[in-house]
Amino acid sequence: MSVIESNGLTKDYGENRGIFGIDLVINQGEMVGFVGTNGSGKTTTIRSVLGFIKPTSGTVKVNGLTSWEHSSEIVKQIGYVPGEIAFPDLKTGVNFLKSQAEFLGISDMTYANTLIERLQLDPRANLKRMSKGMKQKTALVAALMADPPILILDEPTTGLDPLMRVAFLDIIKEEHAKGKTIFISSHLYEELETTCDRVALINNGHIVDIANMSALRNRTVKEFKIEFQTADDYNRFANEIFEVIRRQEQYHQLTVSIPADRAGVLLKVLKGYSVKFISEIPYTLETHFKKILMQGQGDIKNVQ
Amino acid sequence: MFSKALFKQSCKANGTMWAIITFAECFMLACVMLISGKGGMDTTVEAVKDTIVRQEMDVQIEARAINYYENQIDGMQKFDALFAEKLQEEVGQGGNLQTIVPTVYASAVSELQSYLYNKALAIDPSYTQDSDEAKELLGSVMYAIDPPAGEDQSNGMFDDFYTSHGESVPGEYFNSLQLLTHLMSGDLSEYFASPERLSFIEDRAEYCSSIFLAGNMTSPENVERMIEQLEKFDISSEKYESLGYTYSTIKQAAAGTVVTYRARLENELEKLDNTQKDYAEKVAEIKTTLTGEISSSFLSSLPQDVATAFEEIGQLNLYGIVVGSIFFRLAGLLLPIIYMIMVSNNLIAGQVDSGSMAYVLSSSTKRQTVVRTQAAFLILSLFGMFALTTVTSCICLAIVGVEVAKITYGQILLFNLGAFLVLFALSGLCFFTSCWFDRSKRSMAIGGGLSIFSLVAAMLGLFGSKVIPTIVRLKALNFFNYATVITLFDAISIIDGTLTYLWKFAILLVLGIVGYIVGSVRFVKKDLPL
Repeated sequence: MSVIESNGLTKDYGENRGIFGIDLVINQGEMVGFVGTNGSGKTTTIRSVLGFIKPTSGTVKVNGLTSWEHSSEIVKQIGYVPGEIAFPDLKTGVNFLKSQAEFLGISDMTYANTLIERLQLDPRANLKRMSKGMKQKTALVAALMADPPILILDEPTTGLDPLMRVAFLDIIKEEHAKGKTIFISSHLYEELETTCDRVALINNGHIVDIANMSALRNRTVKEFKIEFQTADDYNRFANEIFEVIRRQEQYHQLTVSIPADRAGVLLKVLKGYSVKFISEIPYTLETHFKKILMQGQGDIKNVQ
Repeated sequence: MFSKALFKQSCKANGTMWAIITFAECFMLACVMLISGKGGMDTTVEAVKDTIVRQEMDVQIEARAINYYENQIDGMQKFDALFAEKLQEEVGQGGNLQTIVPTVYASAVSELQSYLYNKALAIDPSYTQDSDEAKELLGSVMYAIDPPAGEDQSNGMFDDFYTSHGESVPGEYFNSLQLLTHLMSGDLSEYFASPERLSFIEDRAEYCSSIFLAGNMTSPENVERMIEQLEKFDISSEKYESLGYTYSTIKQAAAGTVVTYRARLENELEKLDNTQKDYAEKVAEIKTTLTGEISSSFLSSLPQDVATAFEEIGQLNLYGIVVGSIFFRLAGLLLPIIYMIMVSNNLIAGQVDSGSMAYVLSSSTKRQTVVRTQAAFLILSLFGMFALTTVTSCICLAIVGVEVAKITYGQILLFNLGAFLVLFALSGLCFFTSCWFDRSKRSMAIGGGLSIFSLVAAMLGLFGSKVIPTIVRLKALNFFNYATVITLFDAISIIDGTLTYLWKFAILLVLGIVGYIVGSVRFVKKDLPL
């Protein structure tokens, strides 16, 4: 069952800025990443989903309700962590969280307190003097305290140190494990790679590709890079049956692509060679998207 | 309808500023009301009034003294001519001079009466025989002639008038001996036209005119009329008495004036060539100039504008102007406007700009509710502010006293209401710009800029407004009054007790409501960068 569904969603700000024809379906319990460079349209998409901006054309629905028309109803189901962390003009984190609880109609703060403990957050601190990490945590508590079934996070880890980022992502993963639908944007591939079920790549306002992470992780073809001690070995191996995808003769290096189940055959063959090293080249989200973007540019060049 | 949580949040965010500004505003108001209440503002006005009244009175006295003097000379000369004519007629018919003279007197007086009446009519055709002016004209001449009366013709007709004021009776009008001599020698007319006779007449007029004027001006019915006239300066009879216009002071002033006039006239006439054709015209001209110069007052010698201005100052309700037009309409608006600009920006545009509005809107609070709650907060906080200034101003008025302040509690309430309505209208504008723009700097620049412009324009406009006396009023600056909504707070109308302020208040109310409504509609429909 789809929780968020956008159909040809377009918000045209003119001069090729905005988002164009976004088709995206996020199912119940799914965690979907949204990746793209700065200014590629991630935040615009998220604002459309929340109903803060009115689409130029196309629709976006949350639980079957169009966002713009039913913004105040759909946001009840959503916990939102905005990209820009700016709190209302209140004194401390406690003030803010209490005020937010009042907005959300929460009288029982136990869950909020659990979250605060888990995040090791001291909410008594002055909001203005909070570090970026503390602000981010406070914003996350505010988004999670009502225990909403949908989470929308706009670049939640930007500006956090690596340790904090891991802790942060752990909590999000936990929420995902509880069965929440999560839509998270980022411009960092790695953090989405490990957590998301699917990752959408947006570039210049267009969704270029939606990668299925389980398919990426369990690819049937693997690539190995091998360096030989001598030029002889290098030349001899080049004549073997393997599909060579890259040659770097000066280093006596070869990159081969073989089906995953045939890795044993490769090792057997290599027994007769003097190998300096052999390593598997991981196929990351980044490589995947780079390849796609390169192809895209190639296509454009060909058209021209 | 309203979000309690958001209202609380707005209270917490803006409460401190509200408290500080409100306290400062009330403190300022109390200072203005108490200090100017005790600062003897009335004494200033009274002093100005006294000066004006004194000047006006002195002018009256001087002008009238000259007037009487001239009139008496003219009247006496005419009387002489009439007398000579009648006397010669009677003598021609024969008879005893002793018995003829009273008859001649009587017929000459009756002729003189009609002559003077015609003269009065020439001045103003609406005069009748019984009008005070005609009587006065006749009286002034008659009192100077003081024709003989009584059994033996030894007493003058109006001797009582002179003696009652402790003055000596002016001697015989005709010296019987001289009259007889000239009559016998047949040069009576020549004698009457002689410089000798003229100087006699002038001396007599000089003596009589000041006495007649002083007597006339201190007569009870004339004093009453004068006080009636002075009512426009708010002068009571006690006040008039305190100015010290008694018989002797008036007489002194009048006599002095006449002496000056006579001396200067003689001096001027000597310079003239009496053979010239336009001699009479020239003489008349000199007389008018002299009368003007001698009797010209501080007020009438200044340009008309200045004169009106001084009159205005005399009539000003200074306390009402300081409190109403200066404090509530200008100085006292500054702090609330600053508060209103900052808060209206904080309530919407600031939160949209920073992004913190996202927390409110992602908590299922409708935009409609958000905008309504914020508008309610802004209006209520301004209302609260002016409720406190109302309380402060009423307390201060009670301390100063309605009598001293010359403004009522009703007017104080209207001043407060007016200031609130100005703020309401301007807050409508600022709330509108706050809703319209996503960037708080833009909302501030346009909403705040226009609000401050309104205030500055009102300040400049003040110098061209009716509050400033005509003399120092800069008419060009009045243009600014048409460029600011603060003009619609008509403090002058409130002070004067007219009802013009009502419809202006209504416009302010409508402007504010329009601003709030248009802003709200825009906020509900626009894209929010959250």
